[in-house]
Amino acid sequence: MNEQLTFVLVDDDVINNMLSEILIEDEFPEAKMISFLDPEEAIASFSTFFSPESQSKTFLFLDINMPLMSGWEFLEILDLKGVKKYDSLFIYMLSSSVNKEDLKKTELNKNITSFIEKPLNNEFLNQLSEIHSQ
Amino acid sequence: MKTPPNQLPNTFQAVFKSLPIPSYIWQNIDNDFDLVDANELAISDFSYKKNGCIGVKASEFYSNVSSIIDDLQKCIATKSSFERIVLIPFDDNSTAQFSLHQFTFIDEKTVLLQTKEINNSKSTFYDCQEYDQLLASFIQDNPTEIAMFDNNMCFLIVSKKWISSYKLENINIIGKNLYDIFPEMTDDWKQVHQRGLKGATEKKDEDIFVRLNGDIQWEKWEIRPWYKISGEIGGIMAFTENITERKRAEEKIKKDAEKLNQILENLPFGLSIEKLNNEITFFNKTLIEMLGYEVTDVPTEEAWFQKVYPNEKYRNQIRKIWDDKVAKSIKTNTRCEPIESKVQCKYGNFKIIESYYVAIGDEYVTLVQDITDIKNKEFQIKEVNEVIIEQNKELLKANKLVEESEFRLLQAQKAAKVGNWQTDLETLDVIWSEENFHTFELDSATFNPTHESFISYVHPEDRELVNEAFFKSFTSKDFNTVEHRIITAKGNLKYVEERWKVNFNEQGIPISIFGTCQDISERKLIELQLIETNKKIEENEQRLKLAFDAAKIGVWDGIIEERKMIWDDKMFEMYGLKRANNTVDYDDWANILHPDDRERAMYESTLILENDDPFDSSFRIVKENGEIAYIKSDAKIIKDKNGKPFRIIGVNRDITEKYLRNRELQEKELKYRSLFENSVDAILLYLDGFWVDCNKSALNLFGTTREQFIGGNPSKYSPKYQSDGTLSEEDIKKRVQAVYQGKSQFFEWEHCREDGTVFIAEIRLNLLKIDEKPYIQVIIRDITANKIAENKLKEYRHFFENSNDLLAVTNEKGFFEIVNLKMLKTLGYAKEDLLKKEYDEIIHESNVTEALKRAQDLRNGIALESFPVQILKKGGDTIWIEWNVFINKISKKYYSIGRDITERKKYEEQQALSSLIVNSTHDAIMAISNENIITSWNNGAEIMFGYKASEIIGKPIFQLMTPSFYEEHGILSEKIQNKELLDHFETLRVTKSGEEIHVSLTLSPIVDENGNVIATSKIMRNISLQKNIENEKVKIMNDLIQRNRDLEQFTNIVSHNLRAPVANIIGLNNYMLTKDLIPEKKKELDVALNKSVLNLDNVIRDLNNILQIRKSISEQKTIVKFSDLVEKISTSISNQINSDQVRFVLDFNEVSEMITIKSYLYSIFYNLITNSIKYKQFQVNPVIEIKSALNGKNIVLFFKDNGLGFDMSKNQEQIFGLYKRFHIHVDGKGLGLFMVKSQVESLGGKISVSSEINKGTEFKIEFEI
Repeated sequence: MNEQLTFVLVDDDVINNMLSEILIEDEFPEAKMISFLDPEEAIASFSTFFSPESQSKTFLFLDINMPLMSGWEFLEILDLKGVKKYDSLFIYMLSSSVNKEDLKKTELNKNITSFIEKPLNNEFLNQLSEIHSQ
Repeated sequence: MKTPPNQLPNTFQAVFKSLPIPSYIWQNIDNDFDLVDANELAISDFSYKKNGCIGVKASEFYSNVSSIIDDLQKCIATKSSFERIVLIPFDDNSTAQFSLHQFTFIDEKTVLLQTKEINNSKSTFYDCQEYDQLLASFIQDNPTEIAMFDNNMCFLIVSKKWISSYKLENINIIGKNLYDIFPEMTDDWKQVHQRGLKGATEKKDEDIFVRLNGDIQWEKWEIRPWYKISGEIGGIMAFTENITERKRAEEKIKKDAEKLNQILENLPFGLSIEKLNNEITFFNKTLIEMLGYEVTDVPTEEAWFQKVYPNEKYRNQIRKIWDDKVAKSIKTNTRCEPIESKVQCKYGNFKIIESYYVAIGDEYVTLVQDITDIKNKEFQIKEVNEVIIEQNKELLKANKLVEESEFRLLQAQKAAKVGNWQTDLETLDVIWSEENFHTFELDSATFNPTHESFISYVHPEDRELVNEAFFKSFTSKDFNTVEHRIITAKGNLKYVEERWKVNFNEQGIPISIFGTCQDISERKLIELQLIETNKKIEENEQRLKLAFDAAKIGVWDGIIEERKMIWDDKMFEMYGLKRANNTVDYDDWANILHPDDRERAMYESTLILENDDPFDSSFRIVKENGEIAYIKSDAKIIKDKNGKPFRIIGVNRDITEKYLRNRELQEKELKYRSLFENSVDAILLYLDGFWVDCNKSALNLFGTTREQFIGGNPSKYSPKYQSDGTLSEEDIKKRVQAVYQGKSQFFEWEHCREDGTVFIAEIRLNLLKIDEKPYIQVIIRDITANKIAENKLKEYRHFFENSNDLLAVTNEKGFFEIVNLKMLKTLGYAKEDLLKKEYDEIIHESNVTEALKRAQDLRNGIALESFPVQILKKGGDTIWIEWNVFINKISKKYYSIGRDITERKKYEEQQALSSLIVNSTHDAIMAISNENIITSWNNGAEIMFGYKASEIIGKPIFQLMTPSFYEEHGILSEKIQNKELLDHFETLRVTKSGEEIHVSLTLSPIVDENGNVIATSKIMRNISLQKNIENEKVKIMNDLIQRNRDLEQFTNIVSHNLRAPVANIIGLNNYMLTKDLIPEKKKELDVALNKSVLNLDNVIRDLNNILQIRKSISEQKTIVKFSDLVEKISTSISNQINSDQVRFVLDFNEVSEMITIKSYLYSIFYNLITNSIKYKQFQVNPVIEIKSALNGKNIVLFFKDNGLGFDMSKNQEQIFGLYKRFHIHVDGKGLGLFMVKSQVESLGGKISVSSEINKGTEFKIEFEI
């Protein structure tokens, strides 16, 4: 089945967002693409792009280092809002730098699928499509 | 033949008809009667009669009245009228009616019968039978004597009383004839009965009835006929009353009354009876005779009074007396007291009466007694009595005289002891006078004197003499006397002188003898005594002479008038004169007198003439040979008849020896007395339990006076118990006893003074026999002082020996004489050893010279005190002893007191050391008492706190701390009290200047020997510096940590921010390389790549800037004016300011400038101001308030805006974070505040922030100068 995949980008870096979009488009041409520069905005409209009942998978790429709020804070708020681990929601923490702390936090947080180091690359996306296009 | 009824006369008929009671006319026809006529009333009566018409037969008409025919016939027969009560029963026999039938004789054939109904109480008599019974009972049981007889005088019914009265109990008299029962019935009686039977009623109140047996009975009787129903007399009823008793009683009474009357009449005294109403009812005969009055004369009491007491005054008097007495008698319910009064009799004469009043019943009876005679007699008797008395008096007087004479005679006889006697020679009766009996000591009552008995009492030896004399006297006509002895009845020897004279009759025959017998015992005895006395006198004279000779007494006889004296030999001898003649002139005597005594002696010699007292005088004479002699003269005056002195008899005694001896004795006595008195010891004389004498010392000793003391006893002056527990009184007794037994006592004793204070005495007791009396001489010496001294000595000895100091006495030469135990112990020497040494031998050589010098000084008067010396102990060790030495100037001995100061020395060294320590330390060492008062304060404390010891010691410890630490101190103190040690307790204290210092306390309790905490010692170390350093360290540490963190964060952020664009570049680049891209896409990517590279560059630049800040702190500091800065900044962003209409509110009044790095401060101001503008509220003009202030030395800057603010709770930590932003609507890297903070910190300041969303933000920067 080819359900539509949704990719959500939350990153204050415009360029990175652009890059990520391009790459994802290449790999998943039918995928839906939503990107937020403002994490607050992302939270606010979370329900628009994700609903637990829907069969379609959603991939969330969350930048850790953001001026207004860090990726961790974002997740906290989501948590508060009741967003838990859903089978159809995959959260990836994006960061330009690898930090031990961040890694630890990633592992501790059950909701997070994994940690990705910027930039997003083809190999990763390939893997992703393999896993999820069944 | 029948007379027709209507043939009666008309008037009669009319009258008849109208008769008020039923009337019937019955006519006799044969044996029956016919009713001829009946009046109207009768006719109306027919109603209840069976037969009711005229012509009816009486027997029919009165069928129920049996007696009717008889009665009717009787009426005709007797031609009389009579009545009969008839009981007519009714037909039904239920009731009966009494009816009175009146039978009236009309003519020989006609009877008028009238009937009257009698109403009886119907209730009682229904039955005729019952009625009969009742009647019978009435009669029988009647208490009176009733008898009912029939016409034959036979008893029909009789009452029981009758029976008993006439004593007919045992006879059945019913039916018997009365005359049978009483045959003694008189004819008179019988006639009476007959008359009664004939219808007469007779009675007699009193009648005599003589019974057969002679008894006389008095009867009250009544005889009356009783009628049958037919109207006939059935008999008589006799009522009798035996009034015999009554009669008898009456008679008796009468007799008694008569008797009484007689008595009353003939009473020997008058009697009057008076009724209550004062009406006099009776005078008895006596009274009438007595006073003449009859009742009629004085019908009332008043009349009586008037007549009898004509004198009004007297009458009233009597009346009053009467009333009183009467009242009294009534009151006391006794017989009235009699009253005497003089009354006038009817015929005028006066009599004296005595009246008694007696109330008897309701009458007053007055008894009157004529006492006139008696009174007269009394009077007479009185008169006679008086006469008699007078006569008696005379008689008595005479008697008395006689008695007196007799008495006197007796007395005289008694006095003279003369008894007289007489003997009748014929009868041989002997009469003795009382005195005689007395002389012979015989009882006149029991002894009958006779000549023989008299002789028996004569002394046997004199009996012959007496008898001879007696007989001889018969011939003498003169008085005869004889003296003889008698032995009295009591056995006493007496001398009597008998004088008697014989009386002769005419014939010369002796008939009687009168004589006296005088007890001359006394005289005789006196005579005899006199003889003896004379003898004795002679003897005495002899002896006296001898005595005088022996006693050197000279006798002189002075004739006053002649002024001459007769001297005996002795006198001459005494005076050393030769006997010239017997007499010596008074003047010559006077010349011999010692010139000094002459005047006095002569004066005294004249005294005797004036005084009656026997006199004595002592004087000296100067004998011819020049010797002086002491003469004592005793003389007595002899007066002549007229009382004038004419002779002096005297004796002179040469008392020279005696005098001299006396003087000696006196002197001795004086000496003794003086000794006694002045003896220091108390000397007392004790006899029979009491002090009889004592000397002054004794009085002083006992603190008492002579009056108080003498007569007291030793136990009074001793405490109850002696100090050894013995009872004083007992011990005294024991000792006294011992003394009596000859053992002198010497002992110690506790005495009390008069005031009770006790003293100890040494007592000696010695027995002294004075005039045979066992005196005890008591010598008391007060040894209290001694005892005290003894005790003191003991004490001193004790002290000396047991002193903790070394005590030694050295003599002049320096050798030890006395050493105490301590000395020996301390120095280790044996006593014997030490006593052989000189003092300098035991002094260490180093001190010897000094010691010797000091000793010399001492001798010169300089005190040797507190001289420490090293003393050599036995064994060679030395010991430090400090000496005080005194010198006794008199004994030249040295008294040394030494104290072992080794310990002290050690102690002192320790003290010095610790003092040094204490004072050299920088730490503050102080001690506080349990009451938190500072008691010691060392140097260090002075320095630390700034208080000098003198100003702080005595003050409370609280002065060193702020009040907030009091509690803490309290807790610490408690711990100390629990003997806990407190070590390194850090706290704050305040110095004198007010500076707060950090101190580290070490507290420890100071305990006394009992373990009680008596003080606390505190050691305080000023750790302010340390604290400061520590604080600094901490601050620096914190700072460093913070900085490190900042740095980490910085590096993190930097690395991230650096990497981000790099990552982009890599990504973009990779993509561009791998893919064939359409040109538009390629362009897009290129642009992106470019941007990323530029980003990277920016970050690196920022980094540079930041690093720059941290580096160049060495830039010059200059004065920077705040207002300048603001102005500059305002200028540089003037456009922004204008467009946003920014307003500045500046206040740099407190602090206007500071010395700092200008660029930094500029940067700080710039960033803050631009931030405030950037983050303004939408459409609100920014207002930026910048204010400067001073906080101590620090400069504080406040930046306040009215911008958007931020959520303090969320973002407080991150406000100064690198690349942290909270708002994205405006540009901003999140760098500004990071920079500000770094700059502030690098300038040595701190920044803090507070904010409120949509209100504003305030930054506070504080620079430490």
